[in-house]
Amino acid sequence: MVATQETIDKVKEVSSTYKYGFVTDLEAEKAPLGLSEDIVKFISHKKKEPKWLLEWRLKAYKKWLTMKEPNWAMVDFPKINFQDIYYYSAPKTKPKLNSLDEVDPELLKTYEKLGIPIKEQEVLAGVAVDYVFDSVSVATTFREKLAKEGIIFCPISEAVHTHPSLVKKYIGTVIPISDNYYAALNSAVFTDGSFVFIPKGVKCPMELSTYFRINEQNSGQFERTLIIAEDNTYVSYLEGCTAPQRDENQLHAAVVELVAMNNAEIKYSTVQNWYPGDKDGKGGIYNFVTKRGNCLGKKSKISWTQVETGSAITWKYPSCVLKGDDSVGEFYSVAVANNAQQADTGTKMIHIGKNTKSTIISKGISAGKAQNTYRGQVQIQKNAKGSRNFTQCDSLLIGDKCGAHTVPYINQFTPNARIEHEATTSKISEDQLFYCLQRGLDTEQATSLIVNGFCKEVMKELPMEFAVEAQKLIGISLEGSVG
Amino acid sequence: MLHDVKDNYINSVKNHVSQFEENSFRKLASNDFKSWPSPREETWRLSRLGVLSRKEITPIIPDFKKTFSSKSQFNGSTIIRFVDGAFRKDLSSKLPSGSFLNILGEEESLKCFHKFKDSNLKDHPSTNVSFSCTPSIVKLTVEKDVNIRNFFEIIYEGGEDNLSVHPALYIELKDNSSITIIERFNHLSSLIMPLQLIELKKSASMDSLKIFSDNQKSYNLSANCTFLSDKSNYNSFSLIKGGIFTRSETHAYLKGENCNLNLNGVYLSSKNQHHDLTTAIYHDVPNCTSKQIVRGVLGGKSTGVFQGKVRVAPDAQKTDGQQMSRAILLSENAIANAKPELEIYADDVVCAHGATVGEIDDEQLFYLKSRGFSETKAKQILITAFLKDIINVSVEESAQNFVFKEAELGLSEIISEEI
Repeated sequence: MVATQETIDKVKEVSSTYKYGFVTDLEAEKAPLGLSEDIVKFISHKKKEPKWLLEWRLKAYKKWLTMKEPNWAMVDFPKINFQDIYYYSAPKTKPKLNSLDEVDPELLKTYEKLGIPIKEQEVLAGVAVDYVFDSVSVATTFREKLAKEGIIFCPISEAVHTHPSLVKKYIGTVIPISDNYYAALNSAVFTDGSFVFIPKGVKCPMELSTYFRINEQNSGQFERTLIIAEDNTYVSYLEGCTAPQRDENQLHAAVVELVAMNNAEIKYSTVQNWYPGDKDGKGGIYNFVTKRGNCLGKKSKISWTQVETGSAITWKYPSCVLKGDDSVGEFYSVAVANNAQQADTGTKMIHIGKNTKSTIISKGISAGKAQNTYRGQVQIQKNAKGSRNFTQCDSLLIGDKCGAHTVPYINQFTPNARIEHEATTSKISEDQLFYCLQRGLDTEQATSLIVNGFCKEVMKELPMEFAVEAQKLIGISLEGSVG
Repeated sequence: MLHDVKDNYINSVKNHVSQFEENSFRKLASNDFKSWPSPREETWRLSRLGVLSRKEITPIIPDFKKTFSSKSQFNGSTIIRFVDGAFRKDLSSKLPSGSFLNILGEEESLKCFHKFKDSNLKDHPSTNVSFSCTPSIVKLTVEKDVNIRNFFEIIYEGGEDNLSVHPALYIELKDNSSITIIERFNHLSSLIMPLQLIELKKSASMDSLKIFSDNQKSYNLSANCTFLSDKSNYNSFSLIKGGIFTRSETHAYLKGENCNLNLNGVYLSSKNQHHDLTTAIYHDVPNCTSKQIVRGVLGGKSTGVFQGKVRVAPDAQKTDGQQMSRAILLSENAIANAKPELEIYADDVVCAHGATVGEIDDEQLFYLKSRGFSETKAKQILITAFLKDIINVSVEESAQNFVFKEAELGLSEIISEEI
């Protein structure tokens, strides 16, 4: 798809300071502060959930109580008080809308400030957008068109009512409630997220997209996304995020589960641009996300592409479990950390089926005082004969106060397979910089250009609209880091 | 949980040091030995020691009457012999001029202990246990401007089943001196915990060759801490083939500018062997280079581990750190693990690592087969070449043949099982 003028203008608007730092004044209906069994029941009750889901949440809550926060990541932040967070908040006037005109005008204004006029996006980008505003999906567009194909694309809270058997069958199968501390927390208190189901033989005609937005002060967002692609299907899903500027740290512990059956392909792209905190590291989002895809079927494929520029702390490892024979897992990542940001991100590729293949391309950029860590695991299990992995993780350092770290784990349990891993760390070369400056670019433009070149392998995996935005974002994220 | 198991070894270490004073280095060290590392500890996750807490092992009391006469492998070399972990002057050669050996007293031993305690080997079980139980810390000093051409052969022997041995060696090379040391570990003990502290002063140069070929039931947990000053050189090559469990852990601190470090190694594992090469290289100052090449061949139900960490401190600009590990699996039941880690806080550096795990390259095999070699022979040729390659770049010419023969012995163990 070609980037239209609007898209380009929109991206240009994004200026040096964090543009998305404003608060929409919508009275939210909050759950009381803190977390207890009652809060879990409150959330479940608010969403009129069936009994099985409440029980599932309570089981997760009890598990969570017994777990400890992981401390192995190379990130350093003050301890989170989980009792000082609101676990549920929703816009008070809950809209059930047929068209966008019915949406609260204040909400629409917020989106305009964000630079994503819904209507124009609808027309121009051909994207169905499922806006998540403060944990509750407000409006879903293009649903009818998708419905014709038999595709289900709706908030997961709605899917619980409309397609309970599907949700019940798959939720928690990829990431069990006991998987890790934050996944257990999410399972107990998740408020909303997207649900996608692609029936057999359907290629999704458009890119599905959700814009997440954290709004209400102190409301941790606990998204839960579930995507199921049945035999012979294709779906591309886009996730993008912006959040208002805040002084208090906000916690985001999302869970994303993907299931790919025989010959199905899921492409999951993320541009993450949450508030990273100010220059001294004050404020900013804590982004603790568990993302995993199960390649259950033969010749299935799951591809993760991410551009991470925001958040104060990132703890995120989108992974693939390659169970089906001949299945493919891919991970393309650009992680930019500037100022006081800390990112510990990477992937896991677990090869179980025969002839499974995985590719990991990770580009980490550190500037300012930031710490950027790639942490990844490639495991080829005993029966995964003929499997292959290729990993490349490159780090770029800008400035002498930042850090770039690489922590790969390689485990191979069969001789008939091959793992290749490469990593390099360097700084922007003087020659490249000199060349650009000589041609009239200033240092910042030159840096942005070189960095984008460094990330090209990943950027080309992004859908067009995202690619434009992402390139600009990287430039913005690195502003003030050179010269 | 490890802590629930009644660990006799901890008590026997405590008993061993009971006669010493509270502030002696032995007591201090034994106080820090509280348990074997738990598998939850990141650096011991891939090499687990839990089984040790279920064994009945006690620290050895060296028998100074034991004799050994394994021969020197090189002409004119100086032999230094440790039996049951204790230095045996009667079984060692006279030292060449400019070098001397002495046994450290309490005060100097304490200094040596603190050097380990200030390093990241402070929680290593060998640091705590061997400082507690070593018969004595032996120091080898090479004087300023002394270059010793002939090899030093250090042979570690002795030990018995259910006893642990604790040789401790401190090597100091003064300014502009050089030396080549070949160490062979041939213990019979259940548990071997060699300690080594190396200090290279300005422009000193040391070649080190270690061959781990302990008894097939042995656990060898070797800990080496090396400090490099300005313009010093440290070339180290380890060949691991013995023991049921051998872990060679080396921490190198590059403290002076323009120094150069090579930490290469090979592990050859068969049957139920577990071999682990763990290294940590700390670039603390600018303009240093470090290189690491590690290769492994695995057969039977063996496990190979390579954990290598390169840490570049904020001021260590112009660092060049390279790391390359390759493992070849020959058996369905062998496991290869690698964790090459980079931790970089300086921007003007060139650091890279590569790691591959796989079987013998199909194309190379096909090439040889098409020229008339049988599959078995072709595989042998390729593995031999795989090892010869690294031995040739890591080992001094006059020692290459010896190392290669030692490697072939290890290799034949694997090949007889697999090919």
